[in-house]
Amino acid sequence: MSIIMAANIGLWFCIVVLAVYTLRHYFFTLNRLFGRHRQPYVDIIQADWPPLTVFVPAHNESRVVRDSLDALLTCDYPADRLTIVPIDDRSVDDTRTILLEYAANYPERIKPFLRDDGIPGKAAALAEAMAKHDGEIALVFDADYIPGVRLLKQLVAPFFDPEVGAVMGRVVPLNVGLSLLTRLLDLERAGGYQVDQQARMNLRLVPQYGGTVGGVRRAALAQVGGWNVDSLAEDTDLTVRLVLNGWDVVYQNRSECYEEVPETWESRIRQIKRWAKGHNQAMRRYVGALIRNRRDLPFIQVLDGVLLLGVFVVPLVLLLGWVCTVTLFYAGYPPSWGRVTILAISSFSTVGNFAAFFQVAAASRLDGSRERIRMLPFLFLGFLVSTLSVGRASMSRASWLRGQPMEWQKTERHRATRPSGTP
Amino acid sequence: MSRVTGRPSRRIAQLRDQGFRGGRIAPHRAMIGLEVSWTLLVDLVVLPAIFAVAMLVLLDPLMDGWRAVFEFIRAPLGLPGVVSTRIVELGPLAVAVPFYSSEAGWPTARDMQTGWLVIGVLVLLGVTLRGRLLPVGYLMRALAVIQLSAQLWFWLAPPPFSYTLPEYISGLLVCGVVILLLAPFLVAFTFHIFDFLLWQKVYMVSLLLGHLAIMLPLQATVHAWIIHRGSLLAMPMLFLVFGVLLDVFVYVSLYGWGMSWRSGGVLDAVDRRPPVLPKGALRSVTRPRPTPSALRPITPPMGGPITSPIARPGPDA
Amino acid sequence: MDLTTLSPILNFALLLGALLLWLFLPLIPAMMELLRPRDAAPLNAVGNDAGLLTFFADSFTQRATQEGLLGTMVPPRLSNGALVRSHSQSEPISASRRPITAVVVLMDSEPLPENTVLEGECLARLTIRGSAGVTYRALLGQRDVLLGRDSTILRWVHARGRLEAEEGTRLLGRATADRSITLAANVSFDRLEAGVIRVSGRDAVETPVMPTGAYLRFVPERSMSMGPSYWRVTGDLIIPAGAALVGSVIATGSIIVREGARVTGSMKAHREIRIQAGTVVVGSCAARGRIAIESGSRVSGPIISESEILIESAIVGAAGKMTTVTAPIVRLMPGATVYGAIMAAENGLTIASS
Repeated sequence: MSIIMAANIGLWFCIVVLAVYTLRHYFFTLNRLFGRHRQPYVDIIQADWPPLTVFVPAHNESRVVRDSLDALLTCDYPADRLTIVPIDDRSVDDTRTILLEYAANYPERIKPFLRDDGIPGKAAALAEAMAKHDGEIALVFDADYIPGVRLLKQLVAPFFDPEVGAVMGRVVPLNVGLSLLTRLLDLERAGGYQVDQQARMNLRLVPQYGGTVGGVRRAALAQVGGWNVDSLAEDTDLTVRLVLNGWDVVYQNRSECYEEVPETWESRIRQIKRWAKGHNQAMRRYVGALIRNRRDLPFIQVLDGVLLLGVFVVPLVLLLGWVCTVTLFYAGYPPSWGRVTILAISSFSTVGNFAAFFQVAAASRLDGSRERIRMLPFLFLGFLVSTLSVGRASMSRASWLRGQPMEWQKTERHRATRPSGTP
Repeated sequence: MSRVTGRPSRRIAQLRDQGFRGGRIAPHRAMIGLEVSWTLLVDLVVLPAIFAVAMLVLLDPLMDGWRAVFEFIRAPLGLPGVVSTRIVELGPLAVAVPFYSSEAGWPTARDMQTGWLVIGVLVLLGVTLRGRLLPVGYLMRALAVIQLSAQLWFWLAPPPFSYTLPEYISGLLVCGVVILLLAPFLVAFTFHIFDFLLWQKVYMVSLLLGHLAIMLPLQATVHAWIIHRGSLLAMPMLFLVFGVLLDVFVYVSLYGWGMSWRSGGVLDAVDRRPPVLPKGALRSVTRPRPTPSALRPITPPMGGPITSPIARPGPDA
Repeated sequence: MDLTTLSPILNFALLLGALLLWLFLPLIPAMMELLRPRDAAPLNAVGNDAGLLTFFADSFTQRATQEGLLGTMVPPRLSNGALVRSHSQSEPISASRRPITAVVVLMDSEPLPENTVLEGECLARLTIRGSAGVTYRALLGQRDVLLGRDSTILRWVHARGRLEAEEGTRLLGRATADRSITLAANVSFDRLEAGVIRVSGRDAVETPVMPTGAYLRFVPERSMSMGPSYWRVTGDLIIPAGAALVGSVIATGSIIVREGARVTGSMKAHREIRIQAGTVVVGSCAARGRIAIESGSRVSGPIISESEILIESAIVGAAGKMTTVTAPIVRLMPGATVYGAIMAAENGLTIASS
């Protein structure tokens, strides 16, 4: 009897959690569709642009780093205000050679930072590299990102608002048509940025600084204690600390930048597991602080912050919901079929609730990409893999215990490995 | 512009959005959205209410249809018993939902062996499917776990099982009826809110209801046959994976299709679908590499698109 | 077919096949898109016109050059078949109530007839002084452009020299000039960019900028430090007359900078900002509410409001230090001077008095 009661309570808890996230998805989508678009900085086209340092952390990125540096070199940011700092952190491929070659060709603009020891990982690399440079604003691009000509100015523009601590641009997958996975990730990214992030921006909630295609104000970073080198997700970690300290995090939907999404499921699973662990670490660290500071922050921002931090725990909740559903089903409790149906409907969320499909479809429609929405039913597969992978990662020790990365956590690159002639 | 209202005249508004080639100039996708208007009330309340009422009215003939199907295929499928009726009260209305009265037994040793075999196959597929088929492998593993739970239950627990086959089938169909009544509202809140034409909205609801109305009795019959022949051991898997989940999957598929329709509305204005990625385009997406001598103290704006091989011709100014 | 003659298993197989087929039907569009992709290219990211107001003018210049519109002999048609009409003192386009759909080349300074409507682009090869009530879809002036009273620009106008707009002009879209833009009263606009943008009718009042030491140093009370010379104030903030705030400040209420004060950094208010006469702000001003820059003030950095900006006879930016004024609604009064760009997402207007 006690097991049944526990399963019943557990299931209703799961249903409530899922309902909250479902409503959140739905509310964000409605806001993005019908709400007022808040993009106050997008029109800043002329200004006395501040000194800018662009950091490009790289670890074994010889396949992609040239494209990234080339794109940065042709950006229209005033050259006398721009310093590009590619960071090589103990690469074993040709990355370092490439960076040195660029430094020789563009000595005034490219100043590589080379690391051979210290704590591995992006946060530690950024912390050390930033200590050597004093640009007022620091932007960060992963080595596989290809910024457009005007992107740097667009990302710097929000910093003219002194309350802005960090800025995030929109990530647009470049390798969309390569496989089912890349097409599904393209849909997910559209939902995540075009709808989710922009709705948070519209509603003055907590748009997330994503660690790339974005930047941070040096003063804000210093005030919140710098990069947290023992975090697996330095971006989420920084986002929450900035919000806790009264800084704004801004999302610029118009500031688009190409990225390369994982092309193999194995690579995708590793990526999402890493995100889950880092995110959960941040949740453990800051959810209490967010709730404690609820009087200093708008309630809705606290709520969104908590939900944002909990987003990678949801798959675990879903799995728990499944277990409870199955338990109750076998136990015949409650005996009414209708109630069991409700349980089944809620357990359907295990592979993604409908609001997520709605969000993705709305985002693609806004993007003007109608026909790719037909891929929607395949998202079931993507959600299933994500749910199981994230659930597993969320149960791991690294998700909840303090610990610094022991090695570089990065996604496998494919750009230069493709045989000639294949798209 | 009207000097009275201060709004641009329709002709001027039209010219403002017209490109020099005569095409419509769309705002950037980051700027676009929909407007709230009174027609939303029709889309979200009136239209689904009309469909729900129509569904209520049509329930009796639909149930008669389901009954006729059941009567027609029960004997050829070898399902014993009769087509029975369960009266379901929906507010002031009562609906007579037909269902099979066939019974299913507690799994025999042979059923259990078959179950283990199924698990073995699922695990094998789950482990061996890699690469692009990895998600299918994950699905197989999940199915294996669910079937494993059934095996363990029927191995360890004493009979009787919590549900009989008639209860299960009638429950599945009652649930289907409820879904048929609620579906118009689900479509309204996820599809009608977009700027589709009225006929497209009506068409989407009709498609979903039509599909479910035919699918539900077939689904129930397949479930009844499998459980009757394969024992109660098959019920958990069918209930948890191939029950309501399948109904929702149908809607997601139809929804994905419907959302790809051209509406002629505001959101179509941003339809700037570039051509399909040409072969080898991925390697040439970056701009030409700058030479040191090409760089000036302040780099002038570049005119060429970053994705020249895949971008459409210049803007329609 | 008589189903009773078949075995139950075969009948079931038929039934299962029918069900699977029925379930597969809604999946067909998805399968087709998977197997034969029609929409699998990356989004055409990074719009080239973003942040470059002269993009369309540059494109048209390029096209005009390629098509020979700047040569001695103007071709009768463009390569895409579009008609070209030239207008000059010797061969003027006659007045007509019907819109002109052709691309029009103004060969000299002869003005077009009043109330002409041009639905194609217009290229002015010399300085032009437009007649009243002319509607241009897009206008490129190779030298100075003066738009007559009640003229309308539908998409864009660019002057290689100066651009002037007389009273009642509507600058819908982009209005840019290489040198300067001068607006009369009651000119509506969306986006403006030039070396300097002025509203005629009054000279801008220049405020003498004194060394910071000449001011009384002001540090906000009840504030939280966000870093060196960086404060966050809960509630309203008033910077007293003649005082200097050395640094940047964020207020969760409104900010009022009293007469003759100076702010060396930037300001952000969750409500309104009012910069009173004769003050100097070296950084930027950002507010969720209204920002008012009163006469004789000077702001060097961008001015960003999420609702409305009013600029009286004040100076924003400086020669060689261009900046941007951006808000949904922008109101400019006579004497307002902005070096750089003014972006009014919803409605911009010059007004004669407050």
